[in-house]
Amino acid sequence: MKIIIMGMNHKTAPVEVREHFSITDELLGQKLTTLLSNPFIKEAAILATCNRVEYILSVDHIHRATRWAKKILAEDISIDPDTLERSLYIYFDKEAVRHLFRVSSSLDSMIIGEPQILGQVKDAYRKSSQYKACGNILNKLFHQAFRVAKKVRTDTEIAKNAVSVSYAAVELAKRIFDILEEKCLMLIGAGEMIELALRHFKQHGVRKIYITNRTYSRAIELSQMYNAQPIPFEKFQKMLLKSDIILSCTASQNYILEYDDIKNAMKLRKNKTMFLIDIAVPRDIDPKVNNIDNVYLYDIDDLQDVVDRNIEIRMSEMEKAEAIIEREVNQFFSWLNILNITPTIKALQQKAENIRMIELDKTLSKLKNINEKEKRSIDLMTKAIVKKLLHDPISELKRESSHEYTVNIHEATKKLFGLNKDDDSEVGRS
Amino acid sequence: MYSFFFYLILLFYISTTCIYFFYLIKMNYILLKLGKKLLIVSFILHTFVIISRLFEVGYFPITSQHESISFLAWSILFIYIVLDRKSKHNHLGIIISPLLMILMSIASVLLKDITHIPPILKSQWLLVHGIFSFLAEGIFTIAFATSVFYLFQERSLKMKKRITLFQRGSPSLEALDEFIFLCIRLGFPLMTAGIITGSIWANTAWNSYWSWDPKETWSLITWIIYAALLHQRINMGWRGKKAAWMAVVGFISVLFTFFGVNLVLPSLHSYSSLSLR
Repeated sequence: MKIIIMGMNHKTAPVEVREHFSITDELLGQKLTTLLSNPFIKEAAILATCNRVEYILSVDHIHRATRWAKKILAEDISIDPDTLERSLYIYFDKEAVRHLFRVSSSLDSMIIGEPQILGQVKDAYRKSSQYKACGNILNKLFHQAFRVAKKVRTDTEIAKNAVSVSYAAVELAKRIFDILEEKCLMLIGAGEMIELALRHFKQHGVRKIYITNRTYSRAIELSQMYNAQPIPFEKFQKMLLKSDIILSCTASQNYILEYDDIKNAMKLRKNKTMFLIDIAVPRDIDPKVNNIDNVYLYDIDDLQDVVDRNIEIRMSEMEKAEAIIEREVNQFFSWLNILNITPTIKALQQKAENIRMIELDKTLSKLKNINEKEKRSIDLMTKAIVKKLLHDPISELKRESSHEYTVNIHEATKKLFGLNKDDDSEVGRS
Repeated sequence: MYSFFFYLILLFYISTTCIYFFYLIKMNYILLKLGKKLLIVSFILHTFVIISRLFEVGYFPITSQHESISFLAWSILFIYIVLDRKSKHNHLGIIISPLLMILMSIASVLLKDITHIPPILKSQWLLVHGIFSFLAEGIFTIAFATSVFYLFQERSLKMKKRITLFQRGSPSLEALDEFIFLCIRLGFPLMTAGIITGSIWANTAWNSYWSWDPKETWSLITWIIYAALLHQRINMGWRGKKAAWMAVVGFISVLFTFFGVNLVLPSLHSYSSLSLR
């Protein structure tokens, strides 16, 4: 039993190529069925996202299965074969399993550690199960992939720390304020960035939100959507007193909030901490404001720095994640080896047992005058001989030193003991 | 026997400090938990040692420099454990344990013999005055440790620096600030009570409530610093950085009252003599 992963992702193929391979649910079902119609392909799953398309296969014969899968992949798609060849990657066995674990753990994503990919892998597995294209090997493989992904998320910092500007702002707010639920957020502007940040802050519990905008109607519109309170632009200065977090993103050419505005507001607030986020270019808030005690001002570059550093942290956690994955890959293969080897071991034991029974019968029928006790002894002796003789080959088979090594021993055992005749169809889909 | 246990606690504080030190290098959370557990064990041991000393001496054992430093360390640890939940802070031990280690090391080189105080001073006031004052000092120490974290975090947020080892898992600025305030609010009345009971005791012993002994003067200075901090905080909104610095200044004053006065200025307080072993 071999595992193949064949596909392309954002690294190997540009979007012009990838877009050809996007598939609907219905088409996916069809493809799975056609894939499985090939006798060498035992199990299959298709992972298709906007960044990648991958066929995950459990096969008997690598070359024939690959040829077939490639044909199915490019079916009905008008693409230059050279381009296809350049975009495609094909992984076998360990490489393939490692690849799937890396993809699920979001190490292969465009933004490392992004959380969506695991859901997409789960989805691919679910669909494949729906079409009954998954057997015990892919079942095991996928479940282990989910577990690995979870482990990587919890044991490393690969998915911690914000990698978007608006989320970085929320994380900073959490380092400044204890309970965001009790804090007041004021948004100046009503553009896309404002809306995005608004959603992030709302997700993290901020309830009291003011929105102000030069075009008041837009502020009202946005307020209605997010259950916030619109403030007329002329009056927003008064709300500084109440606002703990202020996020500004307007098209204004000069500062909207001057040093003195904040200085005065702080006096009225009895120095209660303020967190100001200025993501406008040109800036909306006088940078000198950051010098006021208990006021923290971050502009777009500061936030971008935070994001860059967080990406660095994620990159530096890669090594840890790879180590986790490596361990899991080995674990999967020792399971697979045992699975592959079990029929051989069984056949070997069966063969030995058959020989023993036949020979034992022969011998016992020749020996006329022996009692039950002596019969038992002979029986036990033959059992012991068989057991001791088979002990070394079996434990050698079970030993999972290196994958290749085991396979050689495996094949050799089959040859040596003549076990190849009738067990070709033993391992199959279940 | 006393010496053996005393050195055992010192050993515990030294190992806790080492564990926290390795935690800062390795960032392994198991070490952090281990440090905390060790502190709790040390506390139990320390309590045992103080009680045994109490029975040996026959009165509250804070009458020699050695005993009072040891009791100060115990008080700090006691407050740390009591307020642990409230602080929401896993890292306070990083500052507390080296402090305890230093205090106990100082205590270890001081005369450990039982010094008998004049009978005139033997009274219940010793216990009351002692407990109030030491607990206040313990609380102010915790406030100081939290302030150090506050100032680090405040600076890194202002300067937009990356999160350092020191700050990982640290609560928000607001939580730290609230906790410092809580400590001062708890410590201040205790200290006030300590000063009042002390002066009553002075009156029963020396027939004078207040004699401008350096210890008394410096206690008053410390008291004024914390009073100012509380006042400014409540009425003028002195929070954040300023309050944290005030808590640091207050702690330095506490330390000076405790050690400095004895070293530099002659005092009536019997344990002022820094008699070495």
